[in-house]
Amino acid sequence: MTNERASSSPRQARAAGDAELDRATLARCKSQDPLAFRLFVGRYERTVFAVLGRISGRRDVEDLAQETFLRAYAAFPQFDLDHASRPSTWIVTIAARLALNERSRQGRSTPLEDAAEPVHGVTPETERARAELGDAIASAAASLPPDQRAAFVLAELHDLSTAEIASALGVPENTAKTRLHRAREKLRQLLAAWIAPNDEEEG
Amino acid sequence: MDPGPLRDDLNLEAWEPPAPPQGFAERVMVRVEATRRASRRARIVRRSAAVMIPLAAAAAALLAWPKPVSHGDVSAEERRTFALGSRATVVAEAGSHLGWHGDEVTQDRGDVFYRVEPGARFRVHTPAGDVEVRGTCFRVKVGVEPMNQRDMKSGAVGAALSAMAFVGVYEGKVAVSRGAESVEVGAGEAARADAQGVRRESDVDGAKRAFDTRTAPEDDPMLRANANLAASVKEYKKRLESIEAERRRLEERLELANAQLGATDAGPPSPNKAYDLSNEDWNELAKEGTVKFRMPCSNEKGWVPSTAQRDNLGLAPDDVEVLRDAYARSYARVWADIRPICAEVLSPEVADKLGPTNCPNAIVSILTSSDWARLSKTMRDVAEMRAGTQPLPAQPPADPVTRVFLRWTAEMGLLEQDLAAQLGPEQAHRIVYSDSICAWNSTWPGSGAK
Repeated sequence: MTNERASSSPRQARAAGDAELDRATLARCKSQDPLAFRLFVGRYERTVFAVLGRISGRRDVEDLAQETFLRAYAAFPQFDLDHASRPSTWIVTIAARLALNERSRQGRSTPLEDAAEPVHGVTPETERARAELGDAIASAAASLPPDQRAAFVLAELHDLSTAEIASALGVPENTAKTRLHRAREKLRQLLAAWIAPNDEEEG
Repeated sequence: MDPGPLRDDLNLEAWEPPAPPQGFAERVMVRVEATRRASRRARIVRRSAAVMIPLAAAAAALLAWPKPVSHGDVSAEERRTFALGSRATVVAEAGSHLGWHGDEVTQDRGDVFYRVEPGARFRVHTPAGDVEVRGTCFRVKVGVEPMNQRDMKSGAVGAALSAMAFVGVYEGKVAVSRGAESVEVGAGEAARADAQGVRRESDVDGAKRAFDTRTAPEDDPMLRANANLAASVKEYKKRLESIEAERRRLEERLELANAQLGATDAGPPSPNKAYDLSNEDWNELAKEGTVKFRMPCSNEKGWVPSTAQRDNLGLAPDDVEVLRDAYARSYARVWADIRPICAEVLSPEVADKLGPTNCPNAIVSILTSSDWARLSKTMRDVAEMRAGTQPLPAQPPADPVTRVFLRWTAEMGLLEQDLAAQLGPEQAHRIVYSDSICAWNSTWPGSGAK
């Protein structure tokens, strides 16, 4: 089994320095202390926007993000400080479910928005290349069925294990594993042109 | 074959997600607060329902309680027990006849036992005289037959050859009258009313004593009936008292719930009050490292309230100008302090574009976005300065974030001072924490105790 957390990607290195909210604040959140919850929102708002934006394929996800935090606030009394998953995984799970529900409500035929920001003005080549890669990934991810895209986003960009993805999506672990496998397989095909040069560089 | 994580071969971070727009967290907190208020209101309504439902049940029970018929007429062919008027229960022996309207009873024949709850006057009219009571147990026998031996032993009834009434009293006191004559008859006594007038029966006591020593109560059907009646009346009273007590209790609870509902309808205390902070309040906030403040809206030309807002603020039309100018001075004060910092951290052009409301947020965001420890320490320091446990710097601090927080936490007080000079301190204080002015509240929760 692939260890999802063993990777040392730049994203994970950054995430490692971005610690989870401390237990004392979480305990205050659990008692629905609004001041503590304000801190919780500040700590996880970027994560929530990222999950919602990447899974739903939309840029304007504020309504969904607000709903995510309102649900978290309502559910906090049930949050188990000792045994529950990390708070980031917990909020990511809530956001992912909302994004999938929203996508399902809108219908699968709704085209995904271009997930990349338009590049204005002159940018350095590296920035341009990054923006183009971002466009390519967004476009490839948009071609995935929502469940596969969600599994991919949760695993590759938010560090969830297969078991956590299964729990977030409400499916058996094997199903989550299959979805992730298919998503990776398809994205590898679609993004082969971007992967090959890196391999060569590494070689 | 597992294709393996794609992030090992590709910089997936290039897929930029949308970023939270400015003020997102505050907007979430507004909705959270609305949820909390709705939840509080729902709890009060649920509590009220918890009061109302049993009260309605009790009321229904009271309404369903069998009420005595207020008027009627009964000729008993056999012994009958029934409620009579508003507060009496009777046992009418076979052959008796009585009619009633409210608490006025006419008994023209037969033998009837009465239990009357205390209250207003209750009268039994017979052909031989009247019996008037206020609450007692008694028996009236109307007829022409002579009293038999058993009746004599019971000491309860009388007899006559012509129209007569024999009254025996078990509890309380009754007045037996005929024309202008009247005698009072107490418990254990008897009286007779007939053509000769009204008088106590002198031999009844002896007869009663004989009854007490020789006749077991269970042998006397009238006494048995009395015992049954006493029990049923006692039970009846007990239930009524119990329902009455429950009603009073529920009414008290309803009153309390109504008071709570009234308080809710009047609206919870203005959230702005939470931003009217004393040194003690700041001391508590400093323990958590939390900073709270209320800021006036920024407008170079000041702010002018609508007519409704002006009325809510209790201002005269001339005072509008005072308010407008104070807001304009507030804008100038804030911008004079914030713009240089913003220009240094960003650029003069960006500073002018962002303005005095957005610049401070941008400064804090840029300088502390990845440094929670720094932000937490700054907030705690500022809270301690406001609490007076740490000295305020004599000069504007070099740290832009500290300077921003100091400006945020000072400005409403400065606006209040400005207004107080022209409107008086009380009115100024009321105005700056009113819902009717243009201002915004902000809370920056700290990281908890040190």
